Amino acid sequence: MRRDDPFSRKPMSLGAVRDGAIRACRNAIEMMTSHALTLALQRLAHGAMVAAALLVILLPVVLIVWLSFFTNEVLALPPEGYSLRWYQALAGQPQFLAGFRLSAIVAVAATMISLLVTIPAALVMARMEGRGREILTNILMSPLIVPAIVVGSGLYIAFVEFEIATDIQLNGATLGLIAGHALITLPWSLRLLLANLGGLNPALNEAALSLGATPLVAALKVTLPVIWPGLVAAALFCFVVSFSNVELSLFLVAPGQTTLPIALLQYLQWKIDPLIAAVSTLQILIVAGALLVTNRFVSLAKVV
Amino acid sequence: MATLRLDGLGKSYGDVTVVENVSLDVADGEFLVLLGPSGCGKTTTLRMIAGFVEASAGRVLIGARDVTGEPPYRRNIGLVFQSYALFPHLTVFENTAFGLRRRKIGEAEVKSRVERALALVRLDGLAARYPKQLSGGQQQRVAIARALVIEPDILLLDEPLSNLDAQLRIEVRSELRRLQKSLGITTIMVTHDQEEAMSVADRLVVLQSGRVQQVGSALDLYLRPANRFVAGFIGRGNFLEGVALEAGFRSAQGTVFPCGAPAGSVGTLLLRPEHVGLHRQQGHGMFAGRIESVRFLASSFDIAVVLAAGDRLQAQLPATPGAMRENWQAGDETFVAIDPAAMTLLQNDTGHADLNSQNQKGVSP
Ligand SMILES: Nc1ncnc2c1ncn2[C@@H]1O[C@H](COP(=O)(O)OP(=O)(O)OP(=O)(O)O)[C@@H](O)[C@H]1O
Ligand SMILES: [Mg+2]
Repeated sequence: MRRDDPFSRKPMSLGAVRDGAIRACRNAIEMMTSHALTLALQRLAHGAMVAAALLVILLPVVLIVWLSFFTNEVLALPPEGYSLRWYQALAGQPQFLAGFRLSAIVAVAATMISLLVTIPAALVMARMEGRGREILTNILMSPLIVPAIVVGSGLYIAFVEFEIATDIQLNGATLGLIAGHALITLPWSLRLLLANLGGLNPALNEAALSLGATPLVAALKVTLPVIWPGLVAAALFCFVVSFSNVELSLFLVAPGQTTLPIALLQYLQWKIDPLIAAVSTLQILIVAGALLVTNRFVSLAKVV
Repeated sequence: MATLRLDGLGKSYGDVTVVENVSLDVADGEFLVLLGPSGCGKTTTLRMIAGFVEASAGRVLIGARDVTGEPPYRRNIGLVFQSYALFPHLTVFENTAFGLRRRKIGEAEVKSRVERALALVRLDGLAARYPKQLSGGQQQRVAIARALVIEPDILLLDEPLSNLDAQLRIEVRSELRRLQKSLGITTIMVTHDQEEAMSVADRLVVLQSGRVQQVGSALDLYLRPANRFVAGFIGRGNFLEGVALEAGFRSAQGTVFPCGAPAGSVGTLLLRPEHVGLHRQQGHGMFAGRIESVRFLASSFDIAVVLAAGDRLQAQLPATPGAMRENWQAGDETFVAIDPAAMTLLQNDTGHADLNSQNQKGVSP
């Protein structure tokens, strides 16, 4: 009477069991290590790519800061020594300070005008639909399509005609410069605000109204705080676009008057020395400072 | 808390009329549901009550107060949006307190009222969170607390549950109903979900193309639908076109259903699938037919039957052990029994006529 009873079968030898176990372990380890290896390689490749991108972006900045401390007469490698002489030399070049002042004034004013125009425009346009919105967007974005140098020459001619007609001088006046800059910062501001408002639920405003807020209170207590990060980002972009603009300013500044980029350009026509690097370094510090301060209030990574 | 009256309310955009002559009286503490297919004007009606859409015709009265010309912020209406519309920059506490702060209420009272409102929707303990740190269901309850804390005269909800998953929807809706009853607040909710509407409403308003088709309790609408649209919207129906004769209602195919009717009237006979019985043996007043298809839906069987004359009927049998044993198969011979009391004649265009009650009237002296 033979049953197929597992207990009656000959047990596997201990040696066979051990061999099997070892083989299984080895396979598992091999699989794990090869998987871990791929992961590590992937992470390495990813890291290398990020590093390369950062290098491309940061290298010029680092280079400029480094160069600004050279004692060299000409902007060139290798360094002959290090000093603050070019920063001291800035004191003898008042046009940079004057240019900085004018650039800052113009940039702040152009930014404010842009925001004043585009905030209401964006609020209305965000609620529009269809062709009307498309047409309006395209009109307001058009200064972005036309090269700034064309806008500059066009404005120059227009201002001349305006002066002939009205006797009000805009060319060579800070007001004209500001108006021109507002024109090129406006599309940036509109773009950013529209993108920001696109995510604004119109029901928020209605919720505020239904809870008893007047339209003004609803705008101040709900809409404004919600779009605040977008506003800050828009302001920042406007400022930077205006501050670094050369093409437009070239046509519109008064003789003898310079913005910072024009001062730099004029200086570069005669000399290429580390003074330029020193000015640029100061500029970088200012912009970086502004970014850091802004970032304390709104997380820029979220908006831009 | 108050009554609400809509008096001939209408809205047109250009020459397109989207809401037409809506008149309703909502009792104090009543839960009314506006029900209808997409685009029928539910949201528009609600927004006219809230004051976000200007009415082209008619009036809105809260209690004795005519608010037709009032802006939303002076109507004292609590509103719950489909998207919740919580203020993302404010905490749960400040979201809830928003309406109280607009009413210049003292800080101590704001605190106690907000805490009470949050406890009501079972959110105490989450007051310091921001909306994006909450689940969808929790956000919805903040929205409800925010609308309730101002003690509005009327609470309006526009598809408040449609962003929740099926399970949560059932939970929140019964909670909503409980809350509404315990506070006794006059409430109007919009939905296009028939079951949701029936589960919370005291009365339902069925809208189609901007017009009120019928107002009544769920049972009213089911038993005495005003027209074919309502009949098809509340529950399911078999609709047979035909003419009423002396002998009964004769369908277009020629089957005569045994129910009295004013002879000569042309109409549609409504037979609810759940009132159609299937039998193996011929009995009194049954119709011979053949099973066309059988589908098992866990709680019931959906069975299509073709009568001898060619009428096609849908039957819904509860999945009882008896029905399981019966084991209907496509192709089986069957005999269809329909209680004459379950037959409703919907007269074309002229509302409903309850055949059975007319029958009884005819019999009684
Ligand atoms: N501002 C408007 N201009 C023109 N037509 C509109 C406007 N608002 C709504 N409508 C139209 O009015 C009708 C009713 O819209 P409403 O939003 O009230 O429908 P609804 O019943 O809420 O539908 P849903 O269930 O899809 O939300 C629709 O046909 C819609 O196209
Ligand atoms: Mg709607």
